[in-house]
Amino acid sequence: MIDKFRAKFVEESLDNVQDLEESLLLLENDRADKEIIERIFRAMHSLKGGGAMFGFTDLSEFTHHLETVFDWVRNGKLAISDDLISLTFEAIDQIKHYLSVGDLEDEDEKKQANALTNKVKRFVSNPSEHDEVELTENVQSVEEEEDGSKSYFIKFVPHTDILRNGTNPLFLLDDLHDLGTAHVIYNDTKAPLYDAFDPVSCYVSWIIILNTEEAINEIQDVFIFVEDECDLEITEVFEGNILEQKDFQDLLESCKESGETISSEILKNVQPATAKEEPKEANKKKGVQLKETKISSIRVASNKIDELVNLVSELVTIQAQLNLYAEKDGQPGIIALSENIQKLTRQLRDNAFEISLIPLQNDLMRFQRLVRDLSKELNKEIDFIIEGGDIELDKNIIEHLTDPLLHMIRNCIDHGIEMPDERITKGKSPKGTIIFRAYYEGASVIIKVIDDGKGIDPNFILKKAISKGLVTEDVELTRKEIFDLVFMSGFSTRENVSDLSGRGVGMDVVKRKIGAIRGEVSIDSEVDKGTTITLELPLTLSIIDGLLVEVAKKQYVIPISSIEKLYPLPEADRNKIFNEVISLGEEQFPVIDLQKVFKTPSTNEKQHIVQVKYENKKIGLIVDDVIGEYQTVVKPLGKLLKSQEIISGASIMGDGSISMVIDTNRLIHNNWIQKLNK
Amino acid sequence: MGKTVLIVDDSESIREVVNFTLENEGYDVLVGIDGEDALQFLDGRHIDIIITDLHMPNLDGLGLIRKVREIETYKHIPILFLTTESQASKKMEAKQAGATGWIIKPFVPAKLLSAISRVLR
Amino acid sequence: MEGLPTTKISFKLQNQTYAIDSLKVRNILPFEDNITSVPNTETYVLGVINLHGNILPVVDMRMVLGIDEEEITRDTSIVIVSPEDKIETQFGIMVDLVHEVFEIEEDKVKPSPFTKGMGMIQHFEGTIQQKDQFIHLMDIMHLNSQLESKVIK
Repeated sequence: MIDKFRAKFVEESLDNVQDLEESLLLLENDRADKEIIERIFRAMHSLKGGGAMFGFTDLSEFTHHLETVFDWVRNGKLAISDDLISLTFEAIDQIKHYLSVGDLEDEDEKKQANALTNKVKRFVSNPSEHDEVELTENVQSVEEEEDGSKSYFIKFVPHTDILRNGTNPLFLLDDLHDLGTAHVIYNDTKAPLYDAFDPVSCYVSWIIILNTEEAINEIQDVFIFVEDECDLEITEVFEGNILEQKDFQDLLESCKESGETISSEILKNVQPATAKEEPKEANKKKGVQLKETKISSIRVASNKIDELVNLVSELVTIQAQLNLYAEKDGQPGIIALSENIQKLTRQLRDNAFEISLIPLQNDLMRFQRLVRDLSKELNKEIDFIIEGGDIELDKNIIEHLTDPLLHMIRNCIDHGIEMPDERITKGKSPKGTIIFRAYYEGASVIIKVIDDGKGIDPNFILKKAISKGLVTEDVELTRKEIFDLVFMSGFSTRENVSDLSGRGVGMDVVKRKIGAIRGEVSIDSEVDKGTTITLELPLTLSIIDGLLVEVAKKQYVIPISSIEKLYPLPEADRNKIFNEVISLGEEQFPVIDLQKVFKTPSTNEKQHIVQVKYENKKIGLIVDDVIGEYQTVVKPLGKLLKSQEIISGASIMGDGSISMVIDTNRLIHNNWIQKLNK
Repeated sequence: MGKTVLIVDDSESIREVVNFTLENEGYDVLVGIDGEDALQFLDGRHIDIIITDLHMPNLDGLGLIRKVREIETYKHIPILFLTTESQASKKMEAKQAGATGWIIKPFVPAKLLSAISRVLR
Repeated sequence: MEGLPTTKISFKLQNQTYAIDSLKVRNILPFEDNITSVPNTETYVLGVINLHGNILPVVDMRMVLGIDEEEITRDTSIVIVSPEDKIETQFGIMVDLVHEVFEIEEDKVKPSPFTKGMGMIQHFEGTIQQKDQFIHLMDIMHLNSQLESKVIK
């Protein structure tokens, strides 16, 4: 049964971990913020409790130590230090690891985890009066210090009716076993003969000799519920572990033989024990009460949202059919109904799509972590400023966005921002700045990553591109075109990471990944002023504005976002195509015949050119007919056809028929590569 | 007739486990996500027992108990803590605040049920 | 697991009978001429269909097995299979006739006579004899992985 909730716990814990990271970053700036400390403590506490509950034993134990550390912090026994924050960040990574793999099995991993645990323990092993705890190698850990176990005699005689209210005395024995090692002697001499035996009465009593490091009131607490329903004696009888004493074992034997009952008095004779320990003074410090916003959202599994979006798109499709039918039918009643349903369906669709959007916020934590960790490692000082973290995007887009963004930000830190002294000689503030800015622009989301680092010299890019053979020397490029060279594959290779401000490293990969989610990326830079990388992304992947075209009697959708212009192609102009390049008036651009691409029988109905953008070029796609603009829901073609590149999905039309959605970037790319290979 | 249990925990997974365990046994379950949230159920309706976590945002378990004990209707209702906290000092504090008992996480369902039936006569 | 009966669905292609695990079958549809072809795919990919708002690929099993084409008849069907328990992995296979649902016991399964496979199917799970006919057991996972690697031209 617990397994059922394990997944839930992991999901919830990942939220907790994110909250932890967020809190820790805040704490770094304001180390006295009690609310945040309390939040961290609570997160650790939940991880510990849930971990134990759902079978993450290692996690539970690990977070237990962290919880103790932050318990000290919140009680003012320990101050926040750089070391503590760094260690906690390290610990968070470890927690994430536990959440993904469960208990550790790999020996190396265990060793690492142990080392980390010891580091954590050191913070609470030395209750120094100073604000900061010095880290020294020979401070003992908490557990090593606590070696004073004691042995107790416990006599537990339940009243006969204890079972009637549902108490199971065996659970109490279990609880005792949890406290330490126990020797249990049961006594059933009071049990009546079979005839008089009442199955709901308790005739058994127990004597437990318990060795534990816990205080006596821990033992008393075990019996907290049954105090009124039993006779109970708890006596400390031995300093140390009586169970290991030979005298004790002998005593057990002799009592067994003679039938004598073991009592606390007899046990005390084994070895004189010290007086009872006073219960430790109660910790009166009350937990700081936090104002926290009420939960105003609920968690829904993402596949449920996908399902909702699917159902809604189906509804949209069927609604379109209804519309057609109503218009044909012509009955005013039906037309009005259909129009109302259309209105509702639109609202429902907009709503459903809005639900599937998630804020960028969730990802930003990782970027903050990256900036923090990497700048420390490189001894650079960097302010990371986030603007527009509440901007929302389709979750499928966000999933594909994380890696490219991490890459871009890493580049900024690594190669963009200079070392503090270098910045000072340039007359800049020693502290560099990276701005992450997101905002809506029409149906797109723009994300800019702006740094004030050393920038890139366009002349340098051009030279590099020429030396790599990517462009010829006589080519004339605009400033934008030069910067776009950075995104060409083969522009930068590993060995020149350090020379060209590193901007070339893997930017082709970034471009490809952003392209895969129908986004665009551009770069602009000024030497010593800094570099700006701009991403333009669609709000959602599943719905697009498309142009419906016809090729060989079949309908296809071309995303409007990639279209530049439409040209009619009258028969007279067709002979202007030479070597797959057309000259129309002033303009000259390559064209691709979709009939050829789709290998359909050639017809003579090629009447239109749809001019689309490809990198910094314009390319014409020759189609038979242009039908019109459609807002459509893009659906995947199924896993079997996933490697089908030039079709990014399919869309269901009002009449239930299917139109393929063309990925123009892939189509042009593939056709050009083919051409080059020939 | 099913007895009514109010469970209060800020952890969703714990809430679900407890809820599942209790509903399976025929209890009627009310769920609060923290102390503050739990107070809304204390509107005079019949509740047989409250099971609450200790560390929670807004109003923690101790705070909740103190508030509950101030309400005439619920003055004598059994309240159990369900927590990982096993510090003696905390338990003392809880007892003083008016807690009836203490269940340590992790728990097995049978133990939870037994603890509840122990106080529900 | 040995000896336990499993449920299979058998279908015919020309005069041979084949069977697949019924747990992998999601639906059986009569063949309709509503398949939209997908450019740049192998000929045995007939195209995609719209099934309750989901787009599913359909392959022609005769071409997959390298059997001559039969005419489309009233019996021609599309069996929707799901290699994994996810809708995006589903696809349809076109067969001449869906025969029956039946139980077999694992220990009745004999090695397949098609030791070198057939067409794109490199191996069969085995063959069982039922009355006077042989039924060749096909593994949907194997079919799926074969198709996935070769589906695009």
